[in-house]
Order: sequence, then C-alpha cells, then structure tokens
Amino acid sequence: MAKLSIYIPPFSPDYSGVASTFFDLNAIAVLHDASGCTGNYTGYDEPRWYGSHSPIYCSGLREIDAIMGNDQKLIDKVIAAQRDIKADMIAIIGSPVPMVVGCDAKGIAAEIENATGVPSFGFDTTGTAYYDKGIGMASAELIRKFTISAPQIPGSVNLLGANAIDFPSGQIDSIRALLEENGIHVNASFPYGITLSALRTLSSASLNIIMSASGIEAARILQKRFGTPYLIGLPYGKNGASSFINRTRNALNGKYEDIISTGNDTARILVMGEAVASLAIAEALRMDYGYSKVATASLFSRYRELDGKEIIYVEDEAGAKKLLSNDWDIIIADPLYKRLAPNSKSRFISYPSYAVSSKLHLDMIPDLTGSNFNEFFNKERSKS
Amino acid sequence: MNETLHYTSPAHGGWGVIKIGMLVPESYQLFVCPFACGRHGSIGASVENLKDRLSYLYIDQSDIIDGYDDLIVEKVPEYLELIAPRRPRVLFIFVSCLDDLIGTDHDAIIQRLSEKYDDIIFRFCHMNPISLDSSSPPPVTMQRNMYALLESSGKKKRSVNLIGNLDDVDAASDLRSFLSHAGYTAEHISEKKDFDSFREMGDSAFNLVIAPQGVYPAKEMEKRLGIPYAFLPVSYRTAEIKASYESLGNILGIDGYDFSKDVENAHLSVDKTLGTIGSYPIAIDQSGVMRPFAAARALLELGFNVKMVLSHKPLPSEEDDAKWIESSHPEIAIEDPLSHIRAKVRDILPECIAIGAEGAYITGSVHPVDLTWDAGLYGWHGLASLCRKIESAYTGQNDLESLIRSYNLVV
Repeated sequence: MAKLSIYIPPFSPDYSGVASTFFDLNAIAVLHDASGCTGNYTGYDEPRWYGSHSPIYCSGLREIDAIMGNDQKLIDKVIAAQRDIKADMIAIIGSPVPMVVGCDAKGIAAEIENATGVPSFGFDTTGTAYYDKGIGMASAELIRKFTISAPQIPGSVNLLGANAIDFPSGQIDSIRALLEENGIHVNASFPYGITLSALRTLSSASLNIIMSASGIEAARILQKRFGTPYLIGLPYGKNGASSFINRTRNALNGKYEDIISTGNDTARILVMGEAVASLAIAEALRMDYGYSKVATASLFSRYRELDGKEIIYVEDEAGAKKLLSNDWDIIIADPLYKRLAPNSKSRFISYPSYAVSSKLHLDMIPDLTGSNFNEFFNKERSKS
Repeated sequence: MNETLHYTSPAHGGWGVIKIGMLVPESYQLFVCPFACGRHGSIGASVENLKDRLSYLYIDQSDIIDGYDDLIVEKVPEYLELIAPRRPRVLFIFVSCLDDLIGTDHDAIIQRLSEKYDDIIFRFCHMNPISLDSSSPPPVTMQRNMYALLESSGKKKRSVNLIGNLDDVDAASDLRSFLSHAGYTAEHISEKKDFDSFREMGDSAFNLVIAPQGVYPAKEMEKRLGIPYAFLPVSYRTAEIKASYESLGNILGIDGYDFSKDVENAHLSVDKTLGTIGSYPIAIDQSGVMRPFAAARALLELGFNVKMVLSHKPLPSEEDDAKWIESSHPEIAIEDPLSHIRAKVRDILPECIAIGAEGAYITGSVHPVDLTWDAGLYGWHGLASLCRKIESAYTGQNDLESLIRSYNLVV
C-alpha cells in the first residue's frame, strides 16, 4: 500500500543488505540496475566503501536491454569480470526494474555458474523490502551453498546478524572482545568479517547469537541443518551485559532464557530502531536503571521469532508520528525522528540508525557494549 | 571503451536531479517510486538542507501492477495538507526508472491535478538513469523541465541567460565584464530568490549555453520563447576562448571590449603554474571538468605534462579533441573510471596532480585539485583560475576524502 513520507528518508533496502553480506567475501556482486541503486549501496549503505577493494558492481542496465530481456549482456560482462577478478563466488542482485520486467536473477546466476564454474547466486530483490531481509536471504543462501557439517567447538558462539549497516563503526569488534574476555569463544561473526573458510565452518559453533533481526534467517537455517540453538540479544549496559553473558553461558549449557520483554502498557520510555537493539536497550534500562516498563519499536521487518515480545512495528511515517506523540518521558530514536514530534515534551535521546540516516549521523552512532551504554545514557540524560 | 560491469568509486556521481531541480525557487518535489529509489537523493538533500522541499510517495509491487495514476491524484491533496502552510509554486512529481516501462499517463495526471489546484504548476520529472545512454538522460530532461517553466512577458530585457552550468560563473569572470560592456547582465538560475524572478529569465535576449546539458533546453526555449542561443562551452584552449568571445560579440553586437588585461592575467597564471610544477604529471577526468579530452588538449598545448585522461567516453563536443590526443599524444593513457578492474587496480599514478576527484581516487593522486565540472570557470579568467587551482593542489594539502565528502556527490 502506498505510503507518504514527508520528513524521514527512505531506509536501507533489501539489495543493499545482500550486497553488504558479500562485502567481505571475495565475491563479484552485481546490482542489476542503471546506477542509482548501486549508488544507494556504495554511497549510503556501505560505511566501508571508501578505500575498499570489494568487487561490487553496477550492471549498467539500460532501457533497451530491460525491454528486450537481454540478460546475455549482463552474463557476458560478469564472465569478463571474472576473468580479471578471479572471485570465489558471484551474486546477481535484483532491483526495481528487473522486478518489473520479470528478470530471473536465479536463472542468470545458474547460467553464469555453468559458464564459469564459480558458485553463483541470484537474488530477486526489489527495493520494496528492507535491508534486513536482504541480509537474511543472502546469509541463508551462503549457508546452504557453503556451510558443511564440521566438528562442534564446545563453548563457542557465532554472531549472526552482525552486519555493517546495523553496526557500522566497530561495535561488532567490541562485542566480540567482551565475549572473549568472558571466556566465550567466537567462532565467527557473520556477515561482518566473514571469510569463506569461516563460512564453511559456521556449524562448529555451539550457539548462535542473533545480534540483529537480519540474523534470524541464518539462525533458522543453521538450526534446521545442524541443530544449533540460538539466543537473541546484545550485551548493552553494565548489568545488562552481565545478564547477557550469563544467558549465553546458560544457553551453552542447554538452559535457554529468552531476552525479557518489559511490556508496553504504561511504559514511560520509548526505544525505536532495529528490533534486537531496541530490546537490548530496554533490557539495559531495566537492569541498570530500574526502568521496569520500556516500550520497544521496530522500524523494519517482522519476524515470528520476535513474536510475543510486544514489539511495536512502525509501518510508516504517519505511524511513527502517532507513536512519538504519546506522553513519553524519554524517547530514544534516530535524531531525524525528532522532526515528527516538534512539540513533544519528552526528553529525546539521539540514537542514530545507519539504516535510517546513513552518513548524516554516522559519527554519532554509539557503541553501547557493556558500560558504554551507561556512559552514553548518563551523558544524554544529563543534557538540558 | 569495452562495456564492462560498472565500478562505482566513492567519487562517482554529481549533483543529481533533485539538487538540480531545487534550483527552481519555490518548487517542491514529490517522488513516486519504490522507497529504495529515493534513499540517495533524500540523504543527499538533507546534507544540502533541501530535504524540507522533498517528499515521497512509496509504492509497492501491487501499486506498480495496478498502475499508480489514480493513486498520485488521490495522494497529492494529502501531501499538500501535510506540508501546509507551505505551498509550492511548482510541484515536480518524479518517477523512477521503472515508470519508463509501465505507461503511466503523465499528461492526464497533470491535467487532473491542474484542474484541482490552479495555483500550482505540476510537472513530471524522470529520475531514470536507465536512459543514460539516450539523448535525454536525467540531467538533460531535468533542465528541460526547469526551463520549460519560463515565460515571456513580451518585453525583451538586455540580459543573457547562462544555461547548462549548475554553478554560476565567477563574479570576477571576463564573461561578465564583456557582457556588461554592452549593457547586458548575466542571469543564472542559482541567483533567483523567488519563482517570479526566475520566470523573468524568459525575457532575456539570449541563451549562452556553457555546459552540454543545456543545449536541449536552449533549443526548446528558442522554439517556444524565441530566445536565440549558442553553445560556447567552457574551454581552456586559448584559441577557443578567443573564438568564443568573437562569436558571442558578433551575435550580441559587442565590440570594442579590450581583453588584453584578461589575456595577460591568464598567461601570467599559466607561466607561474608551469614555473612551479614544471613537468610534474597531470591526470584529468570527467568529474573535474565537463570535457576532459578538451581540457587535456588545452593543457598540452600550453606546455603541461598531461599523462592520463580518465573518461568513460568523450562527449560529442570533444570527440575531435579525443582523436587529436590519440594521434598526437599516443603516450597519454586513457583510462575508464567505470571499468570493473577499478575495484582492484587503483593507485595507478600516485605522483600526479589530479583534476577531478574520481581521477584522484583512481590514480591515488597525492595532489587532488579542488574542482568539480568547471564550476564557476569561463573564459580567460577560467583558464587563470584552473592554473591557480593546479598550483594550489601541487603546493597545498588537499585531502581527497574531505573533498569528496564536501562535494556531496549523488549517483
């Protein structure tokens, strides 16, 4: 259904999520578009682009080729690139025009794989779904193709949904370090920092930690194929992190405790952003500050694994405006949302989301790992 | 150049149709597209503080299948209510690439909206890079739409519109003094504070097209408003600068203007820069100047050591220059910034002065020149300014990443 958006920018789309997932792999990833979709990814959804050497490309789609269904042109270009780049894999990533003309990205990928012998993927992304869906579908396909049954490493975890869009500035390294300091071995973070060999042995982990909703699809398939259980959460806040570490240890010992949802009724604080991060911030506020009721809102896709956590799903700008107009004591959200509640008396704490405001507030995106959260919250709360 | 997958460097892009369209005072923009199509433009507009005039109507797959003609007519009133009390004089309704494939009836939508809102001018615009290889790519169609808003009041003003260039020509340019010598003022859209004064450009006596994207709109203005035009693009070749001014003088009846001081200043700048940089290599690309082959030829003729030109393909107005370089200077490397090998093969000429950020990024230049698409440059003053910028890049410390950030390039 069509939605008007007056003030808030369009969010990071599905094709950016797919491209981002292939960034650390030696993959030729091709956004099948004219130029703008690739520009979205390279300019606004990939904080690592400057100075990188990832062979992520635009197909240079033109009207006549779209109308005539001239897929061969794309196939030829990819084969030529593969001769020079010698990638380990190839991905064809759809965009709105291929969607309209009924382009078969999977079919094209199959032809390329046949011609080159290089494992190839096709994604019928459309630009009408969010980045988390793109990361989910790319992660699942990579696992299906490459992950083998490997010996399990007791006490080890994978960090799933660890991606550069939700965690653009080093936060994943902090979380990894915190886990390692607490004796929990990180088998791999995925997709951020993933290598082909680490991808093959994702099944070695005893537990998967879902750090963002984009990791749910990977967790599902790893559970289905290798029986690996998963835990949802992030170690935010001093006490929140201790609780998270305990939950992780317990889960490694077969005792699973879900992240606690604090409920929206009578809540005085609203946290709005990525679903898992919002839940983790709510948990930190409860564990470290005693706020028993914190409402959590997600701006992105719904997942059944998050059902029952009383997450409010914000469907559009009008919905966000209505939600923000409630009488909250504190709102924690991307600073662009402040514009939707100009007369609000709530204290507004800026918590930028790269999937929303991209580079506009990149330098303000905090690392909330452990006691960093307390420093952040104390500082923001004390601002007049 | 062989057609390859396109590499998109961090220095790739330009103004984008949104920023171009925003030059029209009191205009607003409503994009009707899948949300993804709007992301780069929206963030780019926020950086430029233009976002308040830019909104979106996101459509999904079912809207595309059903067609969204009625939807636009239905949603525009809601949009106008939401932005009130602001009221556009012009509402540019943008559609994206996919619209080229589904047959939306733009004229009928405009008619229905115009009947309802007689105080607003509605225009359809296309953000459709899928048409980039055609004769009407988005930067051209955008300018056509903008200048199609001009009207003639019937009285001719002694003014000359500068068309095609998005940045105004520098205040100190000899172009301005040349025109004012004969009582002409130079008019540029970026100076216009309100829609009515912009529209008065329709009363100008002449359109001077100084960037290629302005040719098509100027042709249309000639037909519709009777404003003659000439395409005398930015050039750094002394013979061409001279010839352009002679043409312009003949057309407008300007004579007796003494260029000697301007010419002398330009030559002093050339000599001073050559004295400073000597035979230090220069790379030049299409993000620094509109016509890199033409600029490379000019610099070669002046004695500079041009080593590399980076361009996907020459523009029609510089094809002769490209051929001249190929035959007269076969040692000069011609590199395609879009080639797939650029993901892996860069830093190909780090010891060079790079005119253009994209070339600087690809060569790994330690001396990037702060210049985008000839901004502000024209005539003898343009040549002198270019030389000063080259010298400044050589002796100074331009940080490429900061320059690229400051350009706010939109793909």
